[in-house]
This record gives sequence, C-alpha cells and structure tokens, in this order.
Amino acid sequence: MNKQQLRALLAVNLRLLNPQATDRLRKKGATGKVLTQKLTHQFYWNVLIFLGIYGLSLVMFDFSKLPGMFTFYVALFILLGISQSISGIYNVFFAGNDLVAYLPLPFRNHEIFISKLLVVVLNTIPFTTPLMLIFALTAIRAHVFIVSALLLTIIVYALILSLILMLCSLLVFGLTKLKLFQQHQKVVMNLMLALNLILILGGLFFLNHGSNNPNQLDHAVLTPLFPIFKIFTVPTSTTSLLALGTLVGLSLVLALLTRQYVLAHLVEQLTLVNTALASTPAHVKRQHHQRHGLKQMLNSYQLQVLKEPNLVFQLFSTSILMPIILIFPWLFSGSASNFSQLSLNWLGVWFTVGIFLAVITVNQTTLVANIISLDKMNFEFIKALPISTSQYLWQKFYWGYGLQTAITAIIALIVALVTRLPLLLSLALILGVTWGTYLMSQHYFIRDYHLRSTNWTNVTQLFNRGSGNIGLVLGTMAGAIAGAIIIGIYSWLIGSQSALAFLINLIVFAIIIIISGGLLWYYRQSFWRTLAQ
Amino acid sequence: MIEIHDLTKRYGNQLALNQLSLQIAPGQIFGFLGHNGAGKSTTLKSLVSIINPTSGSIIIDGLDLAQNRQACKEKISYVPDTPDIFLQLSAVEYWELLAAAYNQSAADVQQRRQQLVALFDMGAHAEEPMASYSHGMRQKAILIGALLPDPDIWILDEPLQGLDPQAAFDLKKLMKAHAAKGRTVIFSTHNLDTAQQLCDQLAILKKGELIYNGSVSQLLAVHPEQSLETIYLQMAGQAANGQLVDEIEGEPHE
Repeated sequence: MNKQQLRALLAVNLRLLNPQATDRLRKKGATGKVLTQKLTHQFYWNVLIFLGIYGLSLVMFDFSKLPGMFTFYVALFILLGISQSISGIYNVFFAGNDLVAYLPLPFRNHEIFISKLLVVVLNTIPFTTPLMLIFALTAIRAHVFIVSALLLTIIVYALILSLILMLCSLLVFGLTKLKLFQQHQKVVMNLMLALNLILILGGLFFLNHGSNNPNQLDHAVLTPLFPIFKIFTVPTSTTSLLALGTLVGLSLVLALLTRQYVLAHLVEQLTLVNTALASTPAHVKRQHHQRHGLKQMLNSYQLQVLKEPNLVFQLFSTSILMPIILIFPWLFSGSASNFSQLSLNWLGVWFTVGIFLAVITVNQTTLVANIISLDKMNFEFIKALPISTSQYLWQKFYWGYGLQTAITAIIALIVALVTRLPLLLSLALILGVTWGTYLMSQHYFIRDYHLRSTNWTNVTQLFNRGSGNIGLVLGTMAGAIAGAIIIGIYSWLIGSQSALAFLINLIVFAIIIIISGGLLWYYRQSFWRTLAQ
Repeated sequence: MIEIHDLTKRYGNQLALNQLSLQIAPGQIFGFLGHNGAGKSTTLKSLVSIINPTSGSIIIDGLDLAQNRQACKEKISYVPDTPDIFLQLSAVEYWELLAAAYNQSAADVQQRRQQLVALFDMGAHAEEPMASYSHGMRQKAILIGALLPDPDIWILDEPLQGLDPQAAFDLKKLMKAHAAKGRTVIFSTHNLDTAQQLCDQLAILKKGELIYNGSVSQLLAVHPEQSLETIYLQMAGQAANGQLVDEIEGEPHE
C-alpha cells in the first residue's frame, strides 16, 4: 500500500467528515499539516469528552456485581456504535458523492476504501469508547489481574468495534445490491437513515422501558450479552472462553463476507450508486401544471426546494430529536400521569406547555432556521428580480413555519394522547404550540437572514453558524429549565388556588400577550419593515 | 496512441454514444465539437474511467483501459466539465492530493506549482476553501491540479469556460506546448474559433454519432467559401433555427 497516497486521502476525508471544525480552524489560520493535526486532536477531544460525560456516572457502578447494568450499558453503546457507523458509511461513501472526482485519479480501489473506512472508524470510536471503560472497570472490580484486564478490554473492544463496522458495511452495501434500491436509490437511502434513527430511539426506549426492574438496583440482564460480562468477571471460565471464541469466529466470518460481497466489486458498485444518486434521471418529465400568478409559481418553487428528501430528513430529525430525548423517556416510562380528570382551569397551563414545547423544538438546526440559506445563490438572484423581497420572504417564512408547526403539533398530539388529556386542554396545548412556534420561527428565520450562507456544501455547516453546538445545547437546556420552573409554579398555583384559577389564567394570558406583542413589534420594526423600505 | 473502438453508452433507453471509433495520435491537439448532449462529455468520461461504456473498448498506449485502469490513469490528467469538486478543500490541499495521487511529493512539484500559481494568478487565495471561489477561480484551481503532475495525456472538458482572457490565452499556449513535445491534448469546446486555432484533429458529434473526424484544414478545404461556423451549423445544427430567430425578433426595420 502506498503510504503517501493513503495519508493524502486520509487528510482529505478528515476534512470532509468535519466540515464545521475545518472551517473554524481555517478561520484561525490553520492550513495543511497543521490543520490535519488539529482535526486529529479534535478526535481525541471527542473521545475524552465522551469518556468524561459517561465516565463520571460509570465509575460509580460496581459492574462486577451488576450484570444487568453491565449488559444495559454495553447494549446502549453498541446501539450508538451501530447508529454512528450506518450514518458514517452513508455520509462518507454515498452522501459525500465525491467518488466521481476520485475515479480519474490513479488511486487504487482499496486505498480509497481503507481511507474512507478509517474515517468511519474515527467517527464511531468516540461513541463506543465508554465500552472500554465499562470493560476495564468491571474486570478491575472483579479482581482480575490488571494487565490481563486491560488486554482483555482492548481485545474485546476491538472485536466488537470491527463486528459493528463489518455488520454495518454488509448491511449498507448489501442494501445497494437490491433491485428495489437500484430502482429507487434516493428513497431507499433516506429510508435507511430514518430507520437508523428509529433503531436508536426504539433501542433506547426498549432498554429504558423493557429491562428496568423497579424492585432491584440492577437492570434485568440482557441474556445475549451476558457471556461478555463473564469474560471480564471470570475470564478463565468455559463460558468466557466460548464467548471470546464466538466473537473471534464471528469476526472472521464477517471479514470473509465483507471481502466477498463488499470489497470485490466496491468501485463498480459505488460508481453506480454515486452516479445514480448524483443525477436526476435525465428523461423523467415532471408533470407540468398550469400555474397562474407569481405567488402560485413561487409556492411551487418553495416546494421544490423542500423536496430534497435527505436534506429535509436531516432538518426534521434534528427538530424532533431534542423533544424526544427530553419528553419521551418520561412519557413512556410509566411515570407519566393520567390527566383525563383535569378541569378547564388548566387551559392556561397546557397553552404554556405548548409554548415551551415549541421553545425546545425550534432551534438553529430546524427547517425554518435554515430555509433562506437552502435557496443558496437563488436568493441573491431573486433579490435582483422585480418582485418584492419582503413578500417572497413572508411566503418562505410561512412554508417553514407551517411545516415546523406540523412537526411540533404531532409531538404535542402524542403527549396529549398518552397522558389522556381532555379534548379542550389538548386544543389549548396545540394552540400553544402553534403560537410558540410562530414566535420562535420568526426569531430563527430572521437569524437565518442575517447569517445566511449561499456557498455551503453540507447542510450541517448551516447548523454551526452563530453560537454553534454549545449555543444550541445551552439554549435548549435553558428553555427546558425555564419551562419546567414556570410550568411548575403555574401548575402549583392552579392546583392549590383553584378558586383563583380564572384570575391566575387571566394574568398569565396578559403576560403572554404583552411578551408576544413586544416580540412581534420588535421583529416588525427591526426586520420586516426594513425589507419593505 | 489512443484508440477507441465501437464505443457505445446507453442510459436506460437513451443512446448517448453509438459505436464511436477513432484514433488519436501522440503530438496532437484533438478537439471534440458538438451541441449539448451530443456525447462529448460521455466520451471524455469514458476515457478517464468515470463512466463504464455499455460496449466497445478503449486502448491507451497499447493497454486496454478496462483491464489496466491503474496504469492508464497514471498517464492521464483530467479537468471535468464543472469545477465544483472538492469544494471543502483549499486549492493547496487539492493540489497536494493530486500530487500524491500521481506519486509525487509536494517537493517534487513545488517549482511547477509555483510557476502555475503565478501564471494563473492564484497565490492570494490558495489557502481558502474552494467553496468560496468564483467559477473562474475554481476552474483555475482545477486546471493547476490537472497540469501539476504533467502526465502524457491531458483530457480537458471545456477547459476555457469561465477563464479570463489572460488565463484562456495562457492555457491555449500551454496546450500547444504540451502537444509540441509529442504528447496528447484532448479537449471539448463549444467555441469554434478556439477549435480552429488549436485543433490538429477534430471530431464532430451529433446525438451520439460521429459525423466528422479529420483536420480543420481538410474541412475548410471541402467548403472553401464558408466559415467553420457555417460548416459546423450545416453539419450539426438545426435547419429550422434561422427562421425561428427571425420569428422571435422580427424582420429588421428599414
């Protein structure tokens, strides 16, 4: 293998994998080898951050005495590893769509494959590193000789990581060989990404819900993973040796299958898929509808912009992720209350819940916060046409706002159904969502206008504008905490002072109207009016 | 020597290229002319292994391309029809990748890189990501990348598009100098003046069919009273277009 070529390919793929970090480091003056080094350091940092986040809680457990907890966490990180690998393989091999650019260059097939797979590995390692911590902690607490403990940790981790990668490679590349895939590449690819999201959420739900035993400290043991627990607690037992042997055997079988089915015809297959994904079928005629009026035509254009399924999937999935993480575990854990007996005194509370649901759902990664930038250069061009920019933007805003409201309203509807909320309170919740989304959408739409980017190549670059990921997490957490406090106080007041419920609701509505009015006036004065001038 | 035998490419039911056969000798500048969709880019992409032809073969210096892709790719550098590739990389990073692909270290190509950067006036922006470049700057960056490893065969798909007059002039000079050294330049263009200026041999394609293969001088000799533009339009153009233009703009006023 040519090391110089492999190094060059790795450097390129590192940049492709981390477009935001690359841009940020470039702005700080990093170029060439320094940039590559810094991107590699970023990877180490990710590993440390993950270890730090999970390490603190993992160190507290004596896994050697908690086999259920051990298998729970191993399953959790394997799930995360699978999810990251699938999205990594998709991003690096397919979505990057750069293979056509490599094809004329004298690189060897396996060099391109290895450089890309290494990047997927780098992407997956941070999410699975806590496995090493669990393994090492379990073995050390079980009084296994420390050198053996560390050796076993490294071997089992490497085996599990390679199993995950090979399994995902077989899955994704196997999918591309199906006739259905060849006929509907884009649809199947997007379906695969959606299933990946469902897999991780469903897996988390199953782990949280299915295996929790309230009467014991430990989780219920996940039997298929129990032999791995044995490897670290009684490494010389027959079960452990058999488990280790099975892992090695499985790895060999998957390696052979990967060689046979993935590597043998890789470039031909990738060329086929990349070419098909990159091009719209040349002779698929779009049905022509006679449209009268500029408004109708622009509406049709807005719809076409939003018809890119991969893009929309990313924007929608980021929208629903946060509420799902924050609300769904509570909703489905069995601790969620039955609100069917609540009286109309609670109308205001549920309206406020709707507003805060919108606050944690609408953020810089959601559709309405990126919809102007999705236009790319088209927006600059439209500004040069003899049509009103203000009207064009209003139309765009309503598209983004409408879709955003629909997503949040569906989440609200699930909340209402699971908690058996009475019809009028459910309506109040959905109205709250609609109003909250309107205010939040205005804020993020205007933000997108001011920070708009026309030359992005990967939609995730848009998410990192302004305060970046830290701002996103802090903003959402602040919204969630503020919401919890305000709704908590409001609920306590309604619950304890039911005679004054009408007055309390009136005061809260007055506050909401004043704040909303102030915000709308501000948006109008600082943005919409300036467009009309 | 490049030999193309019965090259055919189908996209579903659409025939993009139909049994194209021709030879390109070393020391030539070979031009492909044709309307949009005539099959120029399909031919060039087949030569550089981006497209697998449906049937037919390509022989480069005695090597069958389908059997010897690696060896053939080392003899060729390519400029695609749109310069929107590797946009996340800076121009310098792209050139380093290209040098590595052709097994040349940064030091090996340093002098040539400096000369090309100076020639195309790219020094000021070379460290910025190519996503921030104008079309012309991207084209220059891609051109420098292709010329840097200096292989025997240059395959350039509409290379002059977006270049400023100075850069276009310099590139044409470089193409002539490359061919004068006994090497090969293959390019496609829509510009008939450029084709007339540069090409030793010309292939005109129409809807995937080869309708002319020979020198420009031979073509002009057959039609001594006509310009290359008129001859080309008679061969590849649509007869009804003249009347349509009149209908669109109307008769000029006296």
